Amino acid sequence: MDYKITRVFVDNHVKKKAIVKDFIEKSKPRKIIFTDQAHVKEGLKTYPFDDGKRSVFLSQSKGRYFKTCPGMEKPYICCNLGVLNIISNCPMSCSYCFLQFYLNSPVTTVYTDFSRVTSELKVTSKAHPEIFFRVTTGELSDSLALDRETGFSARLIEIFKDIPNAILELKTKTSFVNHLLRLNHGGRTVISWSLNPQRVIDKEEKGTASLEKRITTASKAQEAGYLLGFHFDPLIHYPQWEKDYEETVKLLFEKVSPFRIAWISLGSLRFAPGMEEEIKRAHPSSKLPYGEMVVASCGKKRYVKPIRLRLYQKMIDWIKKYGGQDVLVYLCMETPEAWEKTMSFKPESTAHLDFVFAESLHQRFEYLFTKKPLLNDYLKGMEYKGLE
Amino acid sequence: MKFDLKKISLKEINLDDDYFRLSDHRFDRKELLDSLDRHGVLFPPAVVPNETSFRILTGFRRISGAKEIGLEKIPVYILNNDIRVEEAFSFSIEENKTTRTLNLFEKATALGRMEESGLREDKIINTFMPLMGLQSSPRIKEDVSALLNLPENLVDFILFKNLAPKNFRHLKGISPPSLGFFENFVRTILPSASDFIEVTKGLSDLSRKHDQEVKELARSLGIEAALALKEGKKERLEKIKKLIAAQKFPTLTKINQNLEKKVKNLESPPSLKISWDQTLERSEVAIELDIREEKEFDRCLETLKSPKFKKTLKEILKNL
Repeated sequence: MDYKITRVFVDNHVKKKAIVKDFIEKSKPRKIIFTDQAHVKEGLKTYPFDDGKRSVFLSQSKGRYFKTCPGMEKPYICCNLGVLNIISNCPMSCSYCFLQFYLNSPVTTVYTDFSRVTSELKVTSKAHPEIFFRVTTGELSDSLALDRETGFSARLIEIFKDIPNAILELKTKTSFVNHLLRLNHGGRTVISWSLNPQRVIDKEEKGTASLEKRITTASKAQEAGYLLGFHFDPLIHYPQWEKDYEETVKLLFEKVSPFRIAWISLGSLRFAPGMEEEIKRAHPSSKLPYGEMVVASCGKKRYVKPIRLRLYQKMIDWIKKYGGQDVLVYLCMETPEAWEKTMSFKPESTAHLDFVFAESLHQRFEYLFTKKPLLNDYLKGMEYKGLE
Repeated sequence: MKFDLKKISLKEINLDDDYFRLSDHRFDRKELLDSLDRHGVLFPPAVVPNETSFRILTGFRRISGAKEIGLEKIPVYILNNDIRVEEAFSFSIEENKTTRTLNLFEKATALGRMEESGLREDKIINTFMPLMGLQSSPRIKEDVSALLNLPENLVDFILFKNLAPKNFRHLKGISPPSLGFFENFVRTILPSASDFIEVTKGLSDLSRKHDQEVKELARSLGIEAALALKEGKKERLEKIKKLIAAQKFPTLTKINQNLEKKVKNLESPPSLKISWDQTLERSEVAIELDIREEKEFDRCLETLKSPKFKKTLKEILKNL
């Protein structure tokens, strides 16, 4: 990935922090602008999209850094992933990415108060020893894209190694993992890749690593003892999708062992209201906004149900065919009906799915747990979701 | 800003220089001419001295109207010739606002002129767009400006129906022959605003999806032929909308058609209606009874109890 930060905005409140100095030294931007937060947000409204992608704002947040994934409206079932929002936005340029439309700033914001991030995490996980926390930094950003400049992932791996009821997930589309390979991770970090056929990567995932590079890198991470995760999300429906996705799944299992895969997610393309119009504008060559989609009950546009179900069913079949029966596959933001029709199993609720994860991980990687997960703890433990 | 109020000869005013003209021809000229005839020029236009004549800043319609009815001299505000472009646009917009609201095409014209004059993008967006009642946004600027490249009768339609920019932005980048097809559609069908949006957006999206011109697509999908049928406008419009929907939603269309066929084969009484959510998102079938006589109820009941009905219902539910 060839990515150069050209401009760094520094919030005056954080300018004396060592991490700021370090970031600037490593990124060597053409321009450094010391400013206040409101000014940056206002001033960047008319920034061209690509300019924003090459700019970083170093700041701090008044809100919480540790939250749960916001994708939880009924009737959809969410996997209840914990998210550490330490970086917000991403320097890569995937046409379908919700971050372009979800966040109100075109620049990537890096939060500099790392100690507060980790203390929130430690306090919450300690308060709920009966719950197993899956936590990612890859919800509002790519976990590794700015690692060269921030060094956040290595520090987090070190912290998670000693938390007895949590696991870190670093989600990425890069091949930037060499700096993590020699770390002592204690088996408590999953490095996961978002995968799509190369044809989709070429058209819709500008600035990301190729499919082959992602899989080869995953294989290296596996050799270094990391657990792996894969996200076929968003699945894209296009004329050659069956051939392309089957080849992708086949290639994946030729290079990595299914026994060290913590989970694989499937999610079909979806657009929040207004997003498809923005894609048409920002990525005029993309064909994604013209798919066979309808507004679903969550208010988002999704592929029509017969297409969604077929995408999931075929993917599940191929994962079983090439990777075996034991890989934990889950649907991201889908209805209980979609689960039932494609998996012959349906989680009763988000808490139930959270438990299914814990149970499956416990069966396969017992060392991660100090006690066997119990469904009741998860059903009661929904309160822990009120992290705010 | 300094200016003098003077009466000057119309011959001294250069009517060909329309650099600051925002008003377009869509207005009731008769009313203006009547007023000028009765009272003369009540609200003096503003001009700027040029080398040999006066350049009009505001009041193009008043000045051309005055000339038309044969006035020789009119009162004008004469501004200093060192006025900056930025001030001139600001003055022109504010002055127009005192008499009426600029229509969207006039706003698009103003945005185009400002760009031509070299005004900075952020100045146009943050200062002039709010002045014209537009939200400060590069996207809205782009959408409104799309009007400048549309054929006149599409602009007329958009202004007449008071369409918001987001409802015609899809016409941006459509080739002139394809816009010609839309003109023909508007002229022939006189659609409502929502039908106009559905048809033009539907076809524009399909054209981008298949990298095919709207005009060619309209021909190959039979839309051009449907437009030329001798049936009523409503029937032709419905046919066109169906043809577009079938292309946009091929999977849904196929499944729904198949299910409709099965329901038809049931030969159920007209008082029994079976329906479902055509997007297939909701997995439920609605059965409606519209009973006026007791024997109708018996017939419906008979159908509902029949094995054929149960089988069809099962098949429908399987597809939902």
